[in-house]
Amino acid sequence: MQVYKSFFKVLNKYKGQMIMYLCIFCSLLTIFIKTSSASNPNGYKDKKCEFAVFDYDGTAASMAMISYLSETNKRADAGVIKDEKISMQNALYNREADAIIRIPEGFEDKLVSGEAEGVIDVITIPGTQNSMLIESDLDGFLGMTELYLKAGYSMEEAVVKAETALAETAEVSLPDGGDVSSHSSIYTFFSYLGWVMLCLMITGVASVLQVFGRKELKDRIECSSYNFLNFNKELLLGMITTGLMICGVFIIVGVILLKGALFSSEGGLYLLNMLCYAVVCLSIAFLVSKITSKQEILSMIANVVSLGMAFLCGIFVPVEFLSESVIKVAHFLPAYWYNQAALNIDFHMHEKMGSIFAAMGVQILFAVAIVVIGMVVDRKKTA
Amino acid sequence: MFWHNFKNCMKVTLKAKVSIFWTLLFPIALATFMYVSFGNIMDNEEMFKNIDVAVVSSGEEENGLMVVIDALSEGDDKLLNVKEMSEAEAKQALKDEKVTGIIFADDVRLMVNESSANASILESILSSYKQNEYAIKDIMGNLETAPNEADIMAIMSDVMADTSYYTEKSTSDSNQNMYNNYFYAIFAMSCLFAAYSSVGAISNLQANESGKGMRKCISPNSKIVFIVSDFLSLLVLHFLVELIALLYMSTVLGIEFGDKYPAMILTLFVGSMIGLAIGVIVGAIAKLGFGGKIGILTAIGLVLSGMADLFVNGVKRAIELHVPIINKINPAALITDCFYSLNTYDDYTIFIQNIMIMAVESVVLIVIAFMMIRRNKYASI
Amino acid sequence: MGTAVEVNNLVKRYKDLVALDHFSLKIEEGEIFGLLGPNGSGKTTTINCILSLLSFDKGDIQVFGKKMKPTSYDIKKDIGVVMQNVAVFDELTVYENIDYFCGLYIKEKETRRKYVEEAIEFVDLADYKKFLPKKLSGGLLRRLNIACGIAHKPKLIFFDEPTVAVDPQSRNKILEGIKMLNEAGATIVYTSHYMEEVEQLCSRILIMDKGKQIALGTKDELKRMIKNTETVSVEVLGLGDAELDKLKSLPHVYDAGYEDGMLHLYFSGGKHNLIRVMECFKENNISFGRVTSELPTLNDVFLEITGKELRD
Repeated sequence: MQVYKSFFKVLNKYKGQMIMYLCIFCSLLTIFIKTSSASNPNGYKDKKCEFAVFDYDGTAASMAMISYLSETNKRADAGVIKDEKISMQNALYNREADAIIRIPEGFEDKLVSGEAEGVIDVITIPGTQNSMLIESDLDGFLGMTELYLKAGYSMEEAVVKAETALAETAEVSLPDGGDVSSHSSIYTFFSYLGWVMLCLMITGVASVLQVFGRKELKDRIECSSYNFLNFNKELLLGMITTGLMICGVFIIVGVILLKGALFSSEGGLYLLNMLCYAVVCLSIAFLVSKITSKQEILSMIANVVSLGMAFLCGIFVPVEFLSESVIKVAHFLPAYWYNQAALNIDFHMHEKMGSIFAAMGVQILFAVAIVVIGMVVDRKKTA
Repeated sequence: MFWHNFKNCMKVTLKAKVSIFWTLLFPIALATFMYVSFGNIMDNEEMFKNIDVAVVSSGEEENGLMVVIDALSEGDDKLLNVKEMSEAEAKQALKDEKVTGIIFADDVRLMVNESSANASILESILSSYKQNEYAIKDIMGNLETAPNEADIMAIMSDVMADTSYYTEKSTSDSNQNMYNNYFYAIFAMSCLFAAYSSVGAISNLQANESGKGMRKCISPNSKIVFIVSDFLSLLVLHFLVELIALLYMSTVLGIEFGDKYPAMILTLFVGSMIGLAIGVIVGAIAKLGFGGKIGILTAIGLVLSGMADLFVNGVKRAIELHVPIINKINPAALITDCFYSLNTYDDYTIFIQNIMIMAVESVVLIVIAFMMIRRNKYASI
Repeated sequence: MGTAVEVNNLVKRYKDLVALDHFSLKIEEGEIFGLLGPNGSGKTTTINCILSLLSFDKGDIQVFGKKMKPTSYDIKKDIGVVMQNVAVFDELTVYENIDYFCGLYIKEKETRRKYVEEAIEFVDLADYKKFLPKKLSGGLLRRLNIACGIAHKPKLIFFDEPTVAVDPQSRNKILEGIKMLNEAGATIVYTSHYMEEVEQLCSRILIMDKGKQIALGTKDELKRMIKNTETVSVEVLGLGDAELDKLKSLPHVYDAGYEDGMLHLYFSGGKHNLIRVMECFKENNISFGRVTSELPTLNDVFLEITGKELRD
């Protein structure tokens, strides 16, 4: 177990670096959870758009609209923003407001006479998500108000009734009678872990492995009586131990962030899935350490590989947004299976137990394949 | 000497093919990944069509929802792909993932497997139907006279009219889409990564880090000449890398960056500058080994990028509210702000201000680095 | 001829370890000066201090009569260093490497081209100009390392163990080259723990240990400093104590040893020591085998002064 022991002696030298990476990634995870749980439980819908208003009409219609928008979105303090280009630009640039709404004089009259199309100015950065939210709220409210106006109601009545009508929502349910919320924060945690873990393992573990890959050192070990297979086996064992320690840290972070949610059958499955994925990440770290001996390249590889998987495998961009062909490609990436397993645990833990375990199995197969490739690369390089 | 070292630095960097490969691959690969994964969303017309949905209806009641659903499932670009089923069939289909959701037409209810974008679309169709239904019933119920055909038709056509009441106005003349921010983030990160190459160059300048550094130290040349010529040489290379990445994104991927290319290119130039300068200052810290320096650079890169919203949105805003000065210093934030200011402003005041800050920061960092290693006699080699 | 290097009372500490302990040194222009000492005796530290690479705690260093500072560019341009470790760019070819390092001193292109060619000629690497360093064997790499250090034709050259891990042929080439450089007018400072090389090459030798000067002088002067002038070794079987005593009582013998059939007699002074030993054998009818007579080496000098072998 000489190699195994020395692995930890080397790792000890990289202690500071590892702790630093762990801290950074744990704080990133915390930020992810905090920002995503702030917008829970209804996903993007509750994302508030901050808006400022210049009301040059000052009528019942305009004020009712403002009060409706203020309920569904967040009204920014308009006091500092002036209806001047520079001031508005500054407000948008500094994110004091996502959109600035200008209601012109005579707005109510136009609404009554049915000529209100396009009268309100929305000043924003075109195409941003937050501004689209407020625009659709605005259209919904005015459309409903106009409907009531046409039916012969007064403005005062119409705006009240419009608001009541807009409060109607369709009921959505799951087959087993549960409520459809968006992803639970435990899913968010483990989903982002798919990126964090990979990046951490490559930057952290691969740099230790590179030490053993150094030519002089390797030659020495190779010409010793140490069996090549044993050498790699012990290295792998050392990596697995390291992986378990890192997983341990993540479990602690998870317990702190998610409170008790981890102590459930669901949590257990998530943890099992995480362990499978940790094995995959370690195998990738192993492969990367065989490909390059330069430390400065590691970080770039880590980012390309981990961000690439995060984008293509449904971690950063939900799977249903991805095109068919991307999903097909993603089947050949281990992070896809990790994320699929996590998705299924989140929504259909009981019906899809089989496919959850299958996805974990696929990850292990990936890990084995990657390790084999790593060994082949290693042999080729020495040959 | 200056040009001699400049050329040599360029030659050595170019010949280290693996490093150049990854430096170039980084922005290109990431942009490609993002492009293919966002491709669907960016191309709105391709998106959101043919959502498979099962409709369960008793068929007895007069139901306006069926009219709406039928309207949405007609034509080439139909939004919905409807199959009428019995409840049991529908639930089986949902379980087998043949359909995204089940619409129960009688009580306007939706059942889905999981929360997803398509489920949200179905939900919003139903919600908006319910709102209109409520309004129409409300209006009909309160009519003094019995509703006649013409009134109903008028109201229905109003509902269907889908008027837009606003005009969107931009404060600048650029035409951007929201996903550009992600590509700007790639540029910011790849600029910060330039630090890896300059940290190597500075290590090659210090006698306690490399034999080459020893040779340079005993040569009759000031270190500032080495620093500046290495720096400029790497700047040229990294600027080229960024330009190639920009060219790739705009031509091969076809991303619309608007027409402010000169300003973008200037941003990339100054961005490479600040990235390299960070590498120079970290490289100049005498006590650290090369591995430690790389570790610190990675940490700096991740932290700065994180604070500039490159991973998750909202951090930068929080900083703006509490300690706005950080956003004015953080190079990653400055690079993205440069791009952002091009979208917000129609003049270049703020843009130039950001560029100036970065330029000044770069110079300050290099000067400090020079002071640190200028006459460095080493305690041990 | 002036003084090339002058070091006075140099003290250098690494935390608790005293690497140089009030060390002084004076090297004249035009000589080949040898710094001899075991590993860790402070040879490289001395050189690095002279080159202003290392900070030191006390003392004063002058090169060509001027105080040496990190910014003494006028002095630095006349100095060449061949370092212990090979320090070249892995990405550049043999020619490019030499050209780069020469270019740190010589701005003018035509002159530089000439100098680089001469350096390549000098280390006999003409066939390998386009090779990358990793393709070179250990000896060739050493020669490249030398070329990088001397291509700019410096007036003062430091060779810091340039022959470590080099085969005898290459070593002789290197030593001959150094002599040629000296003949061409360069002052050479040569460090090594191989006393044969130093004996062969250097006009003056300084032996140091534990950061201190132990002895200084030409090789003859050094050898004169010790008692031993000759050691006679004889292969002989079954030598009795009485006979050994007789041998010990020969004139000029100050010590003798008999072990494993090998007799060593140590002489101090005297001219016909070997003949007297042979006569003594003849008189006592002792049969013997191989006989050798050795003059003292620098190792003996070192051994006698410090009580330990020069090589570890």
